[in-house]
Amino acid sequence: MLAGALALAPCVASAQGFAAMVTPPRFELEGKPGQTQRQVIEVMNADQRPATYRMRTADWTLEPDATVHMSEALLADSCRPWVAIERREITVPSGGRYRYRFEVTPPAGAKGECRFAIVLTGGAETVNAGQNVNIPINGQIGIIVYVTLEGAAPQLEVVGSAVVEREGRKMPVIRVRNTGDAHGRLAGFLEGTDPGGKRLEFQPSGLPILPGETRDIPIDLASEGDNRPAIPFPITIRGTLEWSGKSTPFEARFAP
Amino acid sequence: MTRRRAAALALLSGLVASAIASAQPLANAPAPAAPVYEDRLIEGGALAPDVGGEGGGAYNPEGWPRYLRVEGVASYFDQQGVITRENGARASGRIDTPNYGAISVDATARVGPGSFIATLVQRDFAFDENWRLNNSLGVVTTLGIDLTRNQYRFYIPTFPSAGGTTEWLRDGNLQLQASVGQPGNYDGFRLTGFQSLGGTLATVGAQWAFAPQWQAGVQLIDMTGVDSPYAVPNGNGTIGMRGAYAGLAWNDGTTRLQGNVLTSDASSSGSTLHATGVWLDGRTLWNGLTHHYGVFRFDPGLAWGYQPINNDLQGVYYRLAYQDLRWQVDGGIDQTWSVSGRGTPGTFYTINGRYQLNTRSGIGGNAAYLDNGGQNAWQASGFTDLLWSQGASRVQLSAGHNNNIPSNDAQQLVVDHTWNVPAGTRLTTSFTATRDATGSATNGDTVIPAVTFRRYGLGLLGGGDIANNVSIDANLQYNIVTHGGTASGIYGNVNLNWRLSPNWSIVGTYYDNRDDTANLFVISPLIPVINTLPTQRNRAVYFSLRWEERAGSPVAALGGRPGGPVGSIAGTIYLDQNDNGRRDPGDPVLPNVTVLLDGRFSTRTDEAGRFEFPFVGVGAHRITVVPDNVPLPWTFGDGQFEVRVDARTTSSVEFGARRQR
Repeated sequence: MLAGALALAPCVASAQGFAAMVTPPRFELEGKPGQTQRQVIEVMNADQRPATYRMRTADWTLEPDATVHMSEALLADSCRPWVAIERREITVPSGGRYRYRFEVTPPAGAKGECRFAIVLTGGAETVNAGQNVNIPINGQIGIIVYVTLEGAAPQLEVVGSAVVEREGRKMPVIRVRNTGDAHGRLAGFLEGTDPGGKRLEFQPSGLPILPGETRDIPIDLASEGDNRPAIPFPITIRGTLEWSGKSTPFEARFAP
Repeated sequence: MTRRRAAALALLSGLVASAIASAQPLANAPAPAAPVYEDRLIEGGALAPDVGGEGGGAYNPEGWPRYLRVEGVASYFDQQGVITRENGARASGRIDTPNYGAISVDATARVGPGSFIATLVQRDFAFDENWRLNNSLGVVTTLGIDLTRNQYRFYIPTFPSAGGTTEWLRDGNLQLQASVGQPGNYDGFRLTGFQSLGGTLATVGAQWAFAPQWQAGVQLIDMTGVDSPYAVPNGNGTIGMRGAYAGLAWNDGTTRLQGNVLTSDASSSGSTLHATGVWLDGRTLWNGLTHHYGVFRFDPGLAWGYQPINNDLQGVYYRLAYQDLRWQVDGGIDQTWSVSGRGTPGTFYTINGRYQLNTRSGIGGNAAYLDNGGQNAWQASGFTDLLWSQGASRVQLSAGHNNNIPSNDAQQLVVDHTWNVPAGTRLTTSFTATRDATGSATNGDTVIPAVTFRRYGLGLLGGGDIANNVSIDANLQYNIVTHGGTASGIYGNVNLNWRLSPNWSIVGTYYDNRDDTANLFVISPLIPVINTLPTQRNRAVYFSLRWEERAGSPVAALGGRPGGPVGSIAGTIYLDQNDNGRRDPGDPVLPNVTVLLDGRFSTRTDEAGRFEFPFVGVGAHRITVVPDNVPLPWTFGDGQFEVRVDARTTSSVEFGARRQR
């Protein structure tokens, strides 16, 4: 298993010898059993030298702390056997753009949602980590693919709330259970009133909630930037939570 | 950005990038290897690679980072049988020097009609004591200190000029500038030329932040012997003008006040008219609300250079704006009177609102009322925005009325939709239905009968990469007008960009307007009613063969870090007529607008409103639209836009001017 420390959000991974860019950053597809659909990933090499990348599929899991673990080995419920890729290695000239193709063919009778990743790896380098330990460094980009089969949909339900501390900052979270058979993401406009009566605007995190799982979704102030102010507690937050065209009213009081 | 937040964002975007570090310390026994899954291959791996893009060419790493583009241009315009052929060449070069700032050269040579213009710009030339110098020579735009540009309600113009400018900046606290030259106007279609108005126009300005919350500035202008279509005060002959502006601003972060005084002495035909303008603008942020307010008085005959500015006007204004995640509301009132008494008093009310129903839909509307000495006009519209599986839609209903002679009533339905299309392509469609009824009027013994136009239009704006090295953009419109009989027209504009090799590319444009059904319907009390008039039928073909090369090492692109990858920015400046934040097929474009990249590199929009910054460093950049040639009441706000550039790609942007409220 490759445990990847997630590094950055934009569609570019740049390290010494690895300057690949990939679009689109994510596929959210709808599929029909028995039908093949072909998709294209554009791989751009921003380096001044030609680059060779290894291409493969991987299964992935989403940990409670929102980190992703990629697995080259087939997981038990993997749908990667439905997937075919163009080739296992590509070479992209300096400044070039490679349109890399892959296909998904859900078998007859398939239901629910197929999730996998297309992983691009390249730019092998070795760095000295001290004490004569040489560590090979690869750049890697994983493109998450969701294929929702006909009729599959998330069914989200708020089953609890809490205040947690994340990186030294207390934050309200709502515990959301997905009893559907496709992933869902929360959205919506929420308002809170602090003990002094000041109105504050909140938004739920857009983390995916995978089918069958229960996940803590942070609710944070809607202000921009990384230096968000502390959230005053106790606070009552209310509004409407939305997902996949559905909505539900929400109100909860949060106190550490 | 924190690691956890980065992880969350990465998952949101779906793209997971990682640096995989694997060490195998001798003390650890290797874990049992998991069975390796062998991916299936499409057609057994026999698909031919689909690779293209700009890459592949040899790169010359010698010298400072630089860029050069030379292109030959041929164009043919047919305006109702009047043929114009514009042929010539254009060159533009950039070099980022370590010691002399960024130097840009743009030159255009045109035959038939003959013209040659060139501009040399040096920006960010650094000196000790944190001084920085910007210079320009050739066909330039005169300068204005920041206080003249930070005008919320009024406009102090700058001027195209054949001459030079210099600007000295220190720590953001001191600004000294001067410009001198022969004023003129830009002309041409695809190859910009310069038409001199004769005479001389000189400006000097200074601005100083003399205390933490205070700024003061002075701008002087001297113009002599200029032959202007906007002659002041008589409208004929050679004119002169001397003027002075002084401004004082105070800003504590919550409230900003700026006092302004402008005096002018405009001379024409031996007579001189002295005039003074005084105005105070304020902005206060209070309890989540933004208040703009001001009071003003402009004497009759007030002028600045050879362009008209507000004059014979006094009054007050107030605007209130509020915005949160769901609400966006602003409204205001202007009350004006004539200083001389020759004009009529006017009152203008406006209100705009938008409410986001949920994350996928919103509603809104606006209304305006103008009373100008008994003549009044109103306008109201409502719209709904919907984000759905096929894209983003807006449906807007508008109505307007004025009691001029003749009176006019108009209603309009607009349906715009931006479609969800595959990456690398874009498509917006538009449907417009308009009814425009003008009442009858009597002119002496002549009775002008009432007339009603009905106009229906379909528009399409789209484009995309049809191959790795070929992209196409098109704007097509089809209109029908009924007025007694029925007339129809079609308008088309198609652009093709074909990159033949890393250095060579072809750009072609075909434009054809066979539409006599001009859409002059504008519902706004501030804009005079223009009756429906036939447009000129015209067509044009434009062809350009372009060679470009970049070189230098380390690769420090425009506004980029050494060694970093580069892309480019291409954009269009337009008037957002329906204020929906998107460019729609009927929105007009703005030529000859100066655009700055990161405040250092300058270019101008062409006749199609387009501009381009090639060879720009990857990352976020600030684009500044300098509103020199933007007509009132249109505004870009502070004119600052952030654009992200990705490597070897062109970031396409569109900046729409909105009506000032």
